Amino acid sequence: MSLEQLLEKCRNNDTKAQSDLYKLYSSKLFALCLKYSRNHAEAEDNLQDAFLTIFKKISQYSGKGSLEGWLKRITINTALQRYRSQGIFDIINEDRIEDVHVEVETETVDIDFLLNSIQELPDRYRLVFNLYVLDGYSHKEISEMLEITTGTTKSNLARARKILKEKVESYMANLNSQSL
Amino acid sequence: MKNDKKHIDRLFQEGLKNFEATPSHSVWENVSEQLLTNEKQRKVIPLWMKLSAVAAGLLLLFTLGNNIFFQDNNDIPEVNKTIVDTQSKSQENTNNVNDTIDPKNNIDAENLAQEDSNESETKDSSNSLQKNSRNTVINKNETVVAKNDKNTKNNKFDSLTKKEITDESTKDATTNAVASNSEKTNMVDSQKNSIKEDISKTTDIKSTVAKVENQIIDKLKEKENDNEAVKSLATDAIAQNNKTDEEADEVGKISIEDVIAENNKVEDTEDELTEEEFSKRWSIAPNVAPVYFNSLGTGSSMDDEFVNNTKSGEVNMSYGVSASYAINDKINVRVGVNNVKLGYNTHDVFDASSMEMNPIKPIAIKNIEIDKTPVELAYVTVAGMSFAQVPEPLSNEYNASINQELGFLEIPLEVQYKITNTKLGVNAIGGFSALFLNTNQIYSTLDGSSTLIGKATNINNLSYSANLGLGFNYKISNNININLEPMFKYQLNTFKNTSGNFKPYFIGVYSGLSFKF
Repeated sequence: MSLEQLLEKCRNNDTKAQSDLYKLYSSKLFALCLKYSRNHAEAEDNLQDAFLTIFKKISQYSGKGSLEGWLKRITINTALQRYRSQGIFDIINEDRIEDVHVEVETETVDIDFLLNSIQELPDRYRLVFNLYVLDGYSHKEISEMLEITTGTTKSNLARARKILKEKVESYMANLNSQSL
Repeated sequence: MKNDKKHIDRLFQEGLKNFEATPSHSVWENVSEQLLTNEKQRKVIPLWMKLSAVAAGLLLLFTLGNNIFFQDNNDIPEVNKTIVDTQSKSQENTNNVNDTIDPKNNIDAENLAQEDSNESETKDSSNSLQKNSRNTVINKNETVVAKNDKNTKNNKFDSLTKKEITDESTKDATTNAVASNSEKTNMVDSQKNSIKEDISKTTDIKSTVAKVENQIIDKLKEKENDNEAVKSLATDAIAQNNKTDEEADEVGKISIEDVIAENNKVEDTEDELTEEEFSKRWSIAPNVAPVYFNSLGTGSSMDDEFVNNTKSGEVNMSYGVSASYAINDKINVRVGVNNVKLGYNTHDVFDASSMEMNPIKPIAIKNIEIDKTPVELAYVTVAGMSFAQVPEPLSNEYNASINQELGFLEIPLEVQYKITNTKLGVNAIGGFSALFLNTNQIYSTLDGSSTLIGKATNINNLSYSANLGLGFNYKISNNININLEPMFKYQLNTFKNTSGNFKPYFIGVYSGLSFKF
């Protein structure tokens, strides 16, 4: 069955097709949810909400652009919506910092460590870092999505990088001391 | 252990590039559960919404009945006209591509023409350009085109007509754009390509015209000193050409929108035509049915006296016609008109009216208005009596029955939901009927002879029934179905002041043919 047929069936609320679509994309979208969430449980909640939105809006998918891109956008929006309703974008009192030079000495790092580091970031730093670094949104787009200025997104990104750098460095130091 | 320095972004990008994770099974369980409940809600609400929409429609039909029927005759040809229009448009559109190429050739050929015929050349090229742009813009409006052809022949452009053209085409563009279906993006894509071609053709033509113009200017400059008359003509021609050019720009812009919109419209029409089910949304179905009338509870519509009497429903006929409209491939709404007769017998009645000495005090029946005023009629039940108790002279009289005959003009309004869509289709039918009373008679039947005794006073002139049924249809051809529809119709407020637990209903098995058109 082609993707087009699968989508058509999903539009007609065919349960089997919906299950198939879920199977096809759930692991990719769940990875996305994990990056945007604080923890595993929250990520699962996000994934659930995202899929409900996807099946609700599947008839609006025009076939333009990749399906995966469309699904990812919905998933990201779902995650953002969650934080928007929690009001985490309203932080106003913070000092802006310039982009710092962040390079780390490293070899391949454990994927769980990377994920945990991201999840442990303060909410908005995490979102900005994900959107900019991992999903390729511009500062302008991010500022619109999060309803903040580009100055703030840039500052948030710099702070996220700084925190992550420290984490990676301590992780590497830990690793080295263990291997010694 | 230490490797090259790496930017923190790259570290995360590379590390999480192919990151995938399996969510726990409960996520899908929750999703599917919610989808199911959503779907249930979704299914219930629209049915009621549609029913109420149908009800509103009926109301409109009744209130504006006459007007609508008279206007119908005018409406139908209009619909046909638009269909014909769009069809011819689609043909013209395809022709159009050829048309746009032709004038270009004309211009090229004319480029080589003699300088003496500069003037006519200019005319021709502007003509062909004009034609060309018009072909793309207003190919449908032949009268306007004809007008403009005349204008171009006169070598004068009536600015008013031009305005008309642009106005009309803009109007068309907007209406068409509204009509266009945004979902058909694939179609639009392919059309865009063809439009791009059109645009490039238009620009080609424009550049050719510009070339022609330049040539004309050059040649005219040479001739300038020789012939002043030619000069004036030429400047006219140039001015005209410039105008034409500008106009072509303007018109070209509009034409693109228009062509998109128009193509969309054409595609829409084609889509409608290809969806064979939907090309024929209407169907009309004459039907006839045996109907059986009875009451669900024990009770009587006539008097407390007869609550416990045995009663029997009669089988009568209902016949009529219904028109149905397919909202989509699953749901039809239909409205009809039926003449329905219902009959109902109350047995074990003692006709006491003929007795001078009534052993039992005769009781006037509360819900019957007696016709024969001179003769006093009285009926009493003998349902509770044993034969022994019936006095001998009366035993002949006791097995009378009262027969109630009712007739209604029924306007059923129903929604038909297609369960299967095979050659033998199964439908669920639900709706209601408005019942207009047109017959109301009560007979007394004794020994096979019945006498009209009057009419019931407790029947509403307008009442309603809730209808529920199953429909089976068998496809004989693409346009003709055989239908069989067992229907249960529960009467809501046909009777007032009933006695006991009188809940009237009727069952009909409607059969007939339906014709799609």
